[in-house]
Amino acid sequence: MNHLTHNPDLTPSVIFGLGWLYMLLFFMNAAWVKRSYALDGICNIRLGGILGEGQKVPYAMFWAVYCAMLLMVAVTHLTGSNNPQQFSLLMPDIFKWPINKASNPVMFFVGSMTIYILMIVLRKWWTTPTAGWLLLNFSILFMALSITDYDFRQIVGKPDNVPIVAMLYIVGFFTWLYFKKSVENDKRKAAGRPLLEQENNEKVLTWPDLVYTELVCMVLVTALLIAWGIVLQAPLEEPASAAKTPNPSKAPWYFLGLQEMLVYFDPWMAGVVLPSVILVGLMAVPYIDFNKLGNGYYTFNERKFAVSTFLFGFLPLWVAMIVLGTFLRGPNWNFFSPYEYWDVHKLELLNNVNLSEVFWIYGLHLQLPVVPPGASFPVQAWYILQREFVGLFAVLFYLLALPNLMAATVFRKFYVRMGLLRYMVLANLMLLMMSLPIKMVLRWAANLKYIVAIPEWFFNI
Amino acid sequence: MPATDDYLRSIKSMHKVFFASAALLLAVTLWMMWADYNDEWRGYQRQAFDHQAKKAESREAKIKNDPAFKKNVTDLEEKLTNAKKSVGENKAEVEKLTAKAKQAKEKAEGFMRALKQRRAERDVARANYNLGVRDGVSLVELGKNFKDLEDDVQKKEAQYVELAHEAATAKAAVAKVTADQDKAEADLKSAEAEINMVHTAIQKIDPQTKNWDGQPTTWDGNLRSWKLKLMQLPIVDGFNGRERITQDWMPKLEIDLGGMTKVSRFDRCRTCHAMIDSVDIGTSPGFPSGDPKDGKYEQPFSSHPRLDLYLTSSSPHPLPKFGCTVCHEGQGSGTSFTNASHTPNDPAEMDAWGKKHKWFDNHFWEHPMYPQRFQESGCIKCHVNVVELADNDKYGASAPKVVRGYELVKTYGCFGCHDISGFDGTKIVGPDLRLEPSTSEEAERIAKDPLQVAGTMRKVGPSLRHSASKSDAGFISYWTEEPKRFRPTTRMPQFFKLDNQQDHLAQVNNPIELAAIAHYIQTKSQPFETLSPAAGYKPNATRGQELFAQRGCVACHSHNAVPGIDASFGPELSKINAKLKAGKVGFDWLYTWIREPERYHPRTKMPHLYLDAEGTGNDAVDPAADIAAFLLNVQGEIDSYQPTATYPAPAVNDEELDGFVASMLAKSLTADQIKILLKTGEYPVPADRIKTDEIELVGKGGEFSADEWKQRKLTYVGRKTITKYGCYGCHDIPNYEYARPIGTALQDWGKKDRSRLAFEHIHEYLHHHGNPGMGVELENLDAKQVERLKLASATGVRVSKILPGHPPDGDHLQLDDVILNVAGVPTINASQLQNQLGRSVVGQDIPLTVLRAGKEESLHMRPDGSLFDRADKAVGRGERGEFKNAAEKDRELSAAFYYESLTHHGRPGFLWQKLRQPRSYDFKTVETKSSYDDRLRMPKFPFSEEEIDAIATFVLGLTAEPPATEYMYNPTGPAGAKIRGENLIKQYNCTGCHVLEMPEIKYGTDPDSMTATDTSSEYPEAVKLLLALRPPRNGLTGEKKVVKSDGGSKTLSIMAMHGLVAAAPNPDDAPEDREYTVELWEPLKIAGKLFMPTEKFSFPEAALDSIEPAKGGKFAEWLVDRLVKIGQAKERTLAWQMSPPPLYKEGTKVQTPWLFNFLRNPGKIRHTTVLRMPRFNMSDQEAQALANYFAAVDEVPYPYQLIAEREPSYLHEKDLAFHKDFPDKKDDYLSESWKMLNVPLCIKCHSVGGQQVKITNPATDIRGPNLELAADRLRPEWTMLWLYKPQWITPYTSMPVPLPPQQAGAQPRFPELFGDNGLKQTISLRDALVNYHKLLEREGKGESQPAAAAAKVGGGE
Repeated sequence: MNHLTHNPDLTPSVIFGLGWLYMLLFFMNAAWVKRSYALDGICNIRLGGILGEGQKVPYAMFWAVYCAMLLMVAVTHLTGSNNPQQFSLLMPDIFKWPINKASNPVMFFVGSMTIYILMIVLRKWWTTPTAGWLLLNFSILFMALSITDYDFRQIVGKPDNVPIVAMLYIVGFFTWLYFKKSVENDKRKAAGRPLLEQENNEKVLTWPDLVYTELVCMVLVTALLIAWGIVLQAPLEEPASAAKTPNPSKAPWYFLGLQEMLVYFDPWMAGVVLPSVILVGLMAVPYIDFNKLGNGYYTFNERKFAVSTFLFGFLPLWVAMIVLGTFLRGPNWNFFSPYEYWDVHKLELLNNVNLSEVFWIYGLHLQLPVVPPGASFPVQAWYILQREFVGLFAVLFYLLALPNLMAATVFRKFYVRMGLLRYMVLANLMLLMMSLPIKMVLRWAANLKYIVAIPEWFFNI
Repeated sequence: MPATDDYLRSIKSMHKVFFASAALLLAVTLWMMWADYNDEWRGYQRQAFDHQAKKAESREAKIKNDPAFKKNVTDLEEKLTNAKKSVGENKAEVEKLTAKAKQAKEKAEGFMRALKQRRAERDVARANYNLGVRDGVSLVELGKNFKDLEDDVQKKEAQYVELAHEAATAKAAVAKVTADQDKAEADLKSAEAEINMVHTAIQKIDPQTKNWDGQPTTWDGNLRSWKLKLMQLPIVDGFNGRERITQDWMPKLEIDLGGMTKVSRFDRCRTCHAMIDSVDIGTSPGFPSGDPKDGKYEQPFSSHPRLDLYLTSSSPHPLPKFGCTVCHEGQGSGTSFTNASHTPNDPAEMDAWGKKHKWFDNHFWEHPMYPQRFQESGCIKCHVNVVELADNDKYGASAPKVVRGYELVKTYGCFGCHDISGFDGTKIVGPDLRLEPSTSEEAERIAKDPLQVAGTMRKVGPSLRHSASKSDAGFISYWTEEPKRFRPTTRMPQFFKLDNQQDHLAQVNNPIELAAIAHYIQTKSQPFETLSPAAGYKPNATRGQELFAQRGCVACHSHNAVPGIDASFGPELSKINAKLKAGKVGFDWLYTWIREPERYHPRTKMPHLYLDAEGTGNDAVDPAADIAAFLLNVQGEIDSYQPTATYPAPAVNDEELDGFVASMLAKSLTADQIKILLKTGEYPVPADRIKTDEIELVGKGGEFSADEWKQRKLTYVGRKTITKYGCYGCHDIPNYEYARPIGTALQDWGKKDRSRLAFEHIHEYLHHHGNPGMGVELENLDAKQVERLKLASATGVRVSKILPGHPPDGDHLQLDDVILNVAGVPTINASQLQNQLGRSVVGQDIPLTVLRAGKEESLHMRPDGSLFDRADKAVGRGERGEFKNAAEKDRELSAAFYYESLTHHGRPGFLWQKLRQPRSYDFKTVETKSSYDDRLRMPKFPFSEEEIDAIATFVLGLTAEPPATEYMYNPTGPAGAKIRGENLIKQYNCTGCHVLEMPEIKYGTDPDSMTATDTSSEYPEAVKLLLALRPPRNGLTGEKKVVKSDGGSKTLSIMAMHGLVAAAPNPDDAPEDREYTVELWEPLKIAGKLFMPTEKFSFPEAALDSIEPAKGGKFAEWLVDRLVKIGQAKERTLAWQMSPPPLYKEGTKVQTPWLFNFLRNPGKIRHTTVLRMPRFNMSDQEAQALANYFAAVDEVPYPYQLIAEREPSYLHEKDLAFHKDFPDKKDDYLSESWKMLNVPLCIKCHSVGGQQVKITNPATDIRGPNLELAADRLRPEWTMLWLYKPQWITPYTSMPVPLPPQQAGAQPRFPELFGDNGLKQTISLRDALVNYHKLLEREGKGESQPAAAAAKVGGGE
């Protein structure tokens, strides 16, 4: 009877699969209990004086309780999958509702920026093993509970979205690893102790330490790929048709960041200029970098600017955009909350205006200067210049004047140490990178479409 | 290398990790192999092999245990033993001869080896010689070398011939001695050939260690079975293993991949359906489909049920050419159940598949397999003419459902609003159903355009061009509002009082729309000149009723006063006296319509019936006036006609009308302009600049009078409304000559992108509505309740609970109401009522009678309930197998199927709901639509769910994706003529009057007890001709029937014959005495015995198997009964002569050109019939096609026939023979024949040779057709047979055999002609008839005297 309803809810196989996931989490935490028992020590519980002197319990006990709960949950799932209609261990609506309510591109961007900032500010806290473990547990529980939601499952459960979920965990892990080692090294530096890398001299032999390890990795990855290939069949969709394109039409997952940029930029900017700048910019990094510190070891404090800038470009502007594009952009490239049905009929207010229109029509209450039909190139150019001069001025100011202003103010030290050429390259790369969030903010705040709009020449900024 | 401290990790543990990971890799590799080995299709194939082996084994066992086989083998073996024994007795000699033969053979072979060597040497020498020629060297040596060798070879060849001869002789000597043994061995081998073949087949798939005769074949068997096992191992099976993908490649049947590209079709269906094309005997399935418990096979192991029609090489759809998916659709390249895109037939099956096959809807494949219910949709891709699928001579009804859908679309005129174009330019892409050009100019323009093909369908509704002459405006709006209210059987759909017209705006607007439509039609109606009966003529309604019955009206129409026949081709006429205008106007209209229908409507299908007035003065009879008087119930003066009902002229509120007009103008005028216009009536735009309906608001000279302005507004609203609802799709309406159909074109609807269908809120709607239900729970009355409610009886059903939620519209039921009667059907019990509701049309008003608090009350309600609940319940019942009967299961699961389809935005579901409740898609959208005009307009047709299913089958087959031309079935020649003819026969309802095929009667008989027809007293030539014209059919069907007769039971063979029931059993007789007597109409062969037409068979009622009714002719049969009953005909044979003649084998009878002319302008032929063939409103092409049809069906030449009997060569030969036989005759053969024709024989009944027949007693004498007609009308062979023996062609005819073979010693008949030889005279009669016109001109009027007393009976033809 599942078939008669539009959104069939839980199916036995989902519940069963979740059972195994909870079981896995149980085993992971069981190992953690052991580790915690050995390392975490004892805490004293007073319960506001009810227990008098207090009861001394090892921290591991909390983990053990959690572990037991996980086991029960897992067993419930594994044995209760026969009756999905009445299965009640679901993501409660009380969570879904606020998340759905609050979800929109602005919140998403603000959220990812907040996490980015917290990640740096709280780096000392979240790189502790317990904090890391808590975050991991939290994220897995969140995923597992969310999977019980039909709409969430439809998106996250697609076979071609599996690598993105994996990527999220991998990115998280490596970021965590970097910060953990940096924090450690920064601490050592402050205390005058030798760096991690110096203390554990990690030089090893090519054979067997490197090559043998690589061989083992190769074998394991091959095994993983084969198993993946058997379990998750390649998602084959409908034959390509010019008359009927899939809605939403999505790029391969690793390009979804670029595709998200298309929302804010003209295709030639988002598809040609900005990707080229990213590539050229990454190539230019060694030549721009004047900071000699931090070579060959992990550190944050000594390379604050470089690391923050890179992570800003990579995490909120690249990875977060991929997540946005993959999981939250639905039909018609509309934004959908994680627990929202991808309904083609959803309509978003899209009434964007160009800067020239803001200036001429809303500002001066005049008509836009119109190019006379059949005008020669110079005449056309003259009218366009007239129409777009505010935008062109703003762009020129942004790219030409702003670097100089910055050199005189916030980047004074940089300018002095780098010289004009290197500084200008750096400043322009920075400004181009910042153009994305700026454009996003302008779009959200002022419905601004293009700063310079010259559709006559296919040139829009 | 030993681990040292220098290494980062212990090398030992690294080894361990490496070992573990390598083991893991090995494990997943094995898993991968296993996954491949474990593919779904392999399992099916393995099982298929098992089935095949088992089947072959059972066949082997069957042969082995067959006593005849056993005996045969034993006999042959004995023979062989004997032969061997006798050879053994001559052992010494045989051995000697054998040794000699062996020696001779060895010698010859040895010699041959040497010879071959020499031949090779010679060939080299020849080649060297040739090379020498090329190189220009001396050829002497080379030439000599070759010559020597060649001579030697020649010599040796001669020697070899001798040696070979010697060897052959020696071998023959041995063979002579062992001849018996050799023959016995060969016989035995051939006797065992079949079983050996079967055994070899078994050995291949299931090796045995014993031969079929028990001989051990241990080695062979074991080796084979080991090899088989080996080859089936994973991986090994990749190298030519037993299981493999079976692929059918159809390069010309391409698959369209979403318009981007087309690819060749690869069907791998047979990978799992391995036995799909296995035949047993003939084309019967080798593995019949059914329950394994009955020894049958389930899919995918069963064979196709119709191997005569599909897959086999002798069928019209052989497997290599067609494959599977071109008909079934689905993903042919898929090799798993789900990937093949199987589609379940209902949600219950869907759930079952989900459990069994992990099935899910692979919506990415654009061509999912048709579910069983739409199986026939695929047929019309190639069979664009559809009708040939209805009833095929060879294959029967091959696709009845899609034909039914097609017929429904045609009958209800869907094409009036929805173009169904079968052409892309001039390329055929599917069935073509389009309106014909509405004006002659348009028709001409299209005919001239080489890129266009004109439509052929007529508008299905009556013309409204002269409507004012027929009905009043009041009736038109009454009718339009709800046509079924006036005439429950009407096909006109309902446009008003539907789902999206329940709000205030619609309640205000609908009466205006209704009034405006009527107003427009009346105002724009063009003048119509009616005919009137002669002044002072007093029509006789009683006579009119009889004329109505006899003149063929009831072949198409029905009327309460003429019961027993229920034709629905034309409208039901019982209430026609309630709708026509009062007085002479209405009467004259009907009179004109009956007399000359094409006068009122040039494209009507109603034929011209030749109801002309006859007689003068008091004897005058005007049949049309009489029939009109009967229909209008006029007794006395024509002016006295008063309609039985009056319909008030619709009133329109001025203010509301203004509001409506303003809303209609809102898109073209500003608010101010509208305000001024409504006040002054002055349109702001001049008339010559308006092309739209607004033209109705513009006066020629400015303002209107107040009254006229109101009329104008009403006309305007009427015109807008007609434009909106597309009334002109079915009716001819003035000013709509060039209007286009308003609906979506349907020619490619079957593949329409589902995202382009507007489902709106249908899901929400159906969750609460859309199912006939009364919003209550019902319960049968039991004694307790009867007592509690103080009821008189326990009839009826009690309302036991009021279900929560929104109650249906109309009156509400209360708890403890007892429902006595629903829609006129007395309620018996709860399940019967549920059943009745389930079959009713949703949203239709039904009357109820309930017993409420002891009082009977009449209620009206619109049954409506949750379709979700119904579907949900149906699925549950389906899964639990709770349905009581197949019909209910079909109906309920069908509804569930469509509901499921709707919830998943499927095309079938959309269509289903659109036809059930067209306006339900406006649920909750009416509120957000900005304009009243944006509301849905599709009217509601009175279709049952089963009819909708058939229509869906047809419409889903419309994909406009024609396969390659050679696959299209659009034949020319006889097959094409049949198709076109079938269509026309439907269109003009020919089968209403005429029998086209005689009834087929099947009954059980004992062939041995039957005696063949005695033909000894017939001309042998006559018998020969009959068998040539109508080759005898085999009467035995091969089926058996067990018939119980007093005491015992007999197994009888079922025979089938075409003929009429001459006498049906008398129900008053005792059951064992009840007998049928049937009369044969065709030559029939039964067990070698020949039966001729007119043969009568009698058999007990119990032996009857079936009577398949005649194709057509219901009216003729009814009329025969009636004529006998009212005493107008004394016996059935005479009554038949008074009725429309059967057109059985008409093609062999008439000349096609004559038939064409006759159809265009039917003249009077028969004088015996009570009615005349009417003139149909058909074009030349149609008449031609219909004439061709009859010839094509009977496989005779058309459109032209050679009349050999008119050829000089034939006549010359006849002359020679005549003068040889009668040397003293001076006249030529034809003149003599003319005399023969004019002797006092034919003239007794027929006008002949320019002389009128003289009927002395009109009461008894029968006047035959004028023989002048015969020459151009009849085919000579048929005429010949008719003259030999008319009854063989038409058993009921009154025409006697004119010149039967003379008995010895009988009186001479016409001694001076042809030596009184009956045969020659008969032939001469035929030749005279064929050359009639020539002879009449040459010989002049005949001079024979009619016999003093005309024969009592005369010709019937």
